[in-house]
Amino acid sequence: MSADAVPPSAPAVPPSAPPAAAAEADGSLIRAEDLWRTYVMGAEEIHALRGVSFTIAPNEYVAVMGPSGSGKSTLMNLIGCLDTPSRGRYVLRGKVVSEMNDNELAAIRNREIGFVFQTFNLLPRATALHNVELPLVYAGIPKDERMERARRALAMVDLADRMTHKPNELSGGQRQRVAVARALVMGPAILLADEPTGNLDTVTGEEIMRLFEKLHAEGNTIILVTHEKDVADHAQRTIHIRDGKIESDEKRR
Amino acid sequence: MRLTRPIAARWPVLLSMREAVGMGLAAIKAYKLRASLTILGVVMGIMTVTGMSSIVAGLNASMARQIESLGSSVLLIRPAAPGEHISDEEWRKRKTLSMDEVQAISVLPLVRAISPMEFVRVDLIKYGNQKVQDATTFATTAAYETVHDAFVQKGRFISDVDVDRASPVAVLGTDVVDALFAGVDPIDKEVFLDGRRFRVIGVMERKGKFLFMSRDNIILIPRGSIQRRDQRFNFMIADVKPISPAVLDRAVDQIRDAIRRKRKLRYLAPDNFAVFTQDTLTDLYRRITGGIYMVMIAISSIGLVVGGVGVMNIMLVSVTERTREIGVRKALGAKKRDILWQFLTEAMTLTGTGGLLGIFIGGGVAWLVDRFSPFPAVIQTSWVMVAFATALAVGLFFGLWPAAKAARLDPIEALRYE
Ligand SMILES: Nc1ncnc2c1ncn2[C@@H]1O[C@H](COP(=O)(O)OP(=O)(O)OP(=O)(O)O)[C@@H](O)[C@H]1O
Ligand SMILES: [Mg+2]
Repeated sequence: MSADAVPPSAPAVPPSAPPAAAAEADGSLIRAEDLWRTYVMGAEEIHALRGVSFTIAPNEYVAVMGPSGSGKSTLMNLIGCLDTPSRGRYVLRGKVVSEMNDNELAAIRNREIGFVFQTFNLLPRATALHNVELPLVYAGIPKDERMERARRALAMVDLADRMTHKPNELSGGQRQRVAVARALVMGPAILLADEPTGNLDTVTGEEIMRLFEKLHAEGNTIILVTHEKDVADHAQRTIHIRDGKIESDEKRR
Repeated sequence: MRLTRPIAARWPVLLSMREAVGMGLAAIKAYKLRASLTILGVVMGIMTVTGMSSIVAGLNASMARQIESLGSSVLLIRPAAPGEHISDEEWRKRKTLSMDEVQAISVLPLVRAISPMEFVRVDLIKYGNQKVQDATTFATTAAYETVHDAFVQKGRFISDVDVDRASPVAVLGTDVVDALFAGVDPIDKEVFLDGRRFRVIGVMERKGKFLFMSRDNIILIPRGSIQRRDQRFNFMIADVKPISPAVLDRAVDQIRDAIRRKRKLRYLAPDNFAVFTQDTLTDLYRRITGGIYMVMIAISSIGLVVGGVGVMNIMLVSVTERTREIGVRKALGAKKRDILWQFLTEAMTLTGTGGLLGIFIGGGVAWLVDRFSPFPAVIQTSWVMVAFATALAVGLFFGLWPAAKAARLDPIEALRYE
């Protein structure tokens, strides 16, 4: 099988039926072992992450907190396969991601990761429907199925009546809901959100958090970065990071 | 396993192609002025190829027909060959045929007939009050008909007896008849050639045009029926019909030998005359059209390069402006290959649009030329396709660098780009 190929059996699970994510023998969906991320700037080395280890089980809801510059986004980028660790091992669904090449990473991002950004990152010239369709395009799914699945994902975030709107014709909360639909449309193993409510007012932020809770109840695994205690309180587990290290890892309930 | 996977799964590119074409068109719409200026070069280049190839092809077609209509197996004896470069001094040394030489050629074994023709300078042709001034007058013999496959449609041609007696009779081309004899039967009427009285004995069949000059604007008279007046305008040429088209080349050699012997040219001295076939005309014509093609390719190359550089520029700007978008696409699973193709397709959409415009304008020009000028033009599907393919290739070539730049972007840095 060619290097860039994705297993043909990769499930294209519709968002309404989230994956019973295949876990490793110990029951973990994500396993991070001693992750380091070092940026080299001239003679200086900046260690954004200094040996982070944890596991996350399927259907966990995790909040990541910590002061600015502590390495939260760096960690999310590693988990999201946008970046690879300078040292350490990262295993996602039994696959060693830290050893993959560009094309394999792209395929993992496409199928296993759903990313929600603070600044939404929707394509400005494309409609809501088209934005949600995009991951399906890169998965090589035919047009009819793409439309069908994108519509369903938008309906799930209560935007069935805004499909043909462009981002600048939507409110902030609606934009973020489009982004969530886009993150979920491929039925990923995990949903990653880096300060998803950071650009929203409190009321709209709450609306997005309710959506996350619903998705969690439906079986999705969620990792969320936030500065706000209120937001973190929605999660079952909070990981505190400071200076690139895990300071505390608390589970509730 | 591999084989059972749908093609689209291996080539998401094909699925996103329509999207990329749409983006290209959107870019044109968004930056109307900038985009149209950049593709202007492509438009010009493709327009040149489409227009000029149509015109040259039109010329080719009519040229081939015309050269054929001259009679394919005729040999021409002239002071010089077409396209031959001759100095003024050399021109003075050239001699025109003499009747003696014509006589010698007529008895050669490979020659069936020779038709000598003298250009006679006649300024004014009159019938009653009607005048013609631009007709060509030839003094010739009865063999003219055989050699040129040109026959009278009415009356009779010049006979040997007419030539022997230098009778003042004339055979007219249809243009002359039309100009002088509106609704009158010209046979046995009297016309005046610079005041000399000639009796019309026949009218030639219509020959049509050759090289956009009418071949019907002529008057044929028997050799010797007008005295020579001006040496420059009374030189003699001849056309020869060999016994068969197959011996054309050998006939050329025989005739050259005969003339050289008559003129007592030394062994190494060059010919001071020229004997050639229609092929020589065809060759000359090919050289000219070859030149036209070179000009066409030169003009269009300049246009395409200018357009290509413009497209490269607009694509570089577009890649920078859309850095964040590229980051988003990569975060959603786009591979390098997908991004590369997206921007290549956009570049090709730009140049392809320019190409289509060029084809339409060039085709329009060709149509106008065909319709409103004496030059025929036929649009060449093959050249149009080559032109369009070239436009796409220009997009591919000049889009490669910007597209590669986009594909190489690091997803995180691209996402963070302000
Ligand atoms: N591309 C880079 N080059 C050099 N240093 C970097 C780069 N990206 C991040 N860093 C550094 O790594 C550290 C961690 O950055 P990171 O973005 O992960 O912080 P964060 O916890 O997300 O902060 P915030 O809450 O403000 O978003 C910071 O000190 C930052 O300056
Ligand atoms: Mg951050």
